[in-house]
Amino acid sequence: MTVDNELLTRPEALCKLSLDAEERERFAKDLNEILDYVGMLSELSSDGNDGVCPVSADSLRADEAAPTENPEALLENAETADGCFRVPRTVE
Amino acid sequence: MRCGMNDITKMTALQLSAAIRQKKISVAEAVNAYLDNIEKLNPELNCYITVCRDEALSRAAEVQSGIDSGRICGRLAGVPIAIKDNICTKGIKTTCASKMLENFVAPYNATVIDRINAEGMIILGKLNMDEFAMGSTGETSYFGSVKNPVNPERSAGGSSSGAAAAVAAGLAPTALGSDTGGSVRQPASYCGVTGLKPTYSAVSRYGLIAYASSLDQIGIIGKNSADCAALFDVISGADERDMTCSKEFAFDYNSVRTESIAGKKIGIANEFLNVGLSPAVKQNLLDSAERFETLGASVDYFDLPELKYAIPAYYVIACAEASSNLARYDGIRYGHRSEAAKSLDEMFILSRSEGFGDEVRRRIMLGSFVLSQGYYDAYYKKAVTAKQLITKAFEKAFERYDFILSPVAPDTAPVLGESLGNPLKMYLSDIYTVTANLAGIPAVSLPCGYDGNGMPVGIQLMAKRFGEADLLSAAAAFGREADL
Repeated sequence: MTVDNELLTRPEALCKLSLDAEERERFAKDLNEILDYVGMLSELSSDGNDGVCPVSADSLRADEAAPTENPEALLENAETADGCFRVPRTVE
Repeated sequence: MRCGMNDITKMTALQLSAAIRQKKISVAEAVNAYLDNIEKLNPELNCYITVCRDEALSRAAEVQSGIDSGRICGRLAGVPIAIKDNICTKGIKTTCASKMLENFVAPYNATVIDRINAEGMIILGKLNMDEFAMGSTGETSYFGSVKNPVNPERSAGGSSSGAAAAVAAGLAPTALGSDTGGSVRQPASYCGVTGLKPTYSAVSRYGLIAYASSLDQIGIIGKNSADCAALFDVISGADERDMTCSKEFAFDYNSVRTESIAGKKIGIANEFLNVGLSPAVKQNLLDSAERFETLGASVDYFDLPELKYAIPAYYVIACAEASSNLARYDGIRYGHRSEAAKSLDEMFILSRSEGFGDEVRRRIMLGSFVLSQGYYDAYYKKAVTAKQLITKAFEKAFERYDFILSPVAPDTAPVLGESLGNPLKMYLSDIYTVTANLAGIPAVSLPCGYDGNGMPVGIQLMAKRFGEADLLSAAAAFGREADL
């Protein structure tokens, strides 16, 4: 499998990134080298493995609402208007 | 060597706290000693992104008053500390060394920050690192590379580059870093200091800006393993705000005994020696094995064929998780927002393309590729299988051995500017450290010698899950013996 310009378009779109021509060439080369190397994973059988990465997690905490300390601080790193996040027009 | 060591900054964190308790020095004197060194050496070494001079001095006065009244009596009360810039510190910029978060001021403290504050420690500033913790040389930082204090033409390692360099150069007595694939242990080794990556789930990740959630752990860089043990006692333990943080684990600080290495069994995997080690690193490993034998431990060699899949598994899983974790950077609620965007979609695309550096973009593209339809089974599912195999292989090894010994990296610190042109080669140098992250086990890197260029060499000791007390005991015994 070779990552070419066309194949690069999918991760670009999924990641919401835009590469210029030089970057596309460089990233395609890098990704090809890396994917070639990690391709040795194909030697393993993943039958019966659902791909869920097992992480030790104890039970979740109770689903109970609690006050957020200083909710105004959560807006301070954004462009806001009237306590809302301000974004470009979403509907034409 | 670029080093600002005076009487105060030569002390370990525990020596410093004892001197403060005994009123031989004041908290303000300790903080000022470090701030002076930062002023002198940081312009060259670039360890700090943000120095919290005024806050540190004001806090020093508060802590002194607390110590004098008996209200603050932590083992490390009065000791300054520096924090890697991917750990949220309320009211202080937390940038992840990225243009994306260049002006982000954290609205809350990470759990570990609340704990070090309660202990009476004083934050000196936020440390430089590889961007979003993605890198092994400190060179992907938006704010420029950290220089290795031993030789400023060389890398301090990564991604906790600033943390390791700061402790080595006397710009902080101890530091918090993060370790996803070796990012505490490898820079510690390159700079000649001690680095601890705890068991996965031993330390809360609440407030650690996520790279790869199943691998990330906040770790400690210190002058010796005793300092690491003392700070680990402060930061570890249950936290209901992190569902992956163990509810049961409670570190028993008093069980860390410096003499308990005699009779212990140490294993070295044969595969660790076949990986293109530099002669100096190999010799230091063998000398260290001999040192452990002098201390009464036995050293044995065994096979670990699963090691072959460690790098592929690590980079597939880490990049997959990173692509998900970094999807939150959309320019809306925080972070860089492109001024050129005319639509919502353009805002996402331009903000992210402008805000992220090359290595971050490369990893999130790789990550989304291996998770995408048609490739998920071939890459991500196989990587998870490899992670499970590696975990089981280590569990089996720890039925025979108390510790596993390995190098930290195939070579010593590279010259700056020589690594970024070949990403795969850079990834391969993580071969010794990623295994502990994949298996979720604790690991410590200890200074053990130097190469022919005078650059530090480290060794890595690993233990079974939640085996930090035994691990730090062994590390202390080795450190005393090595006397470096």
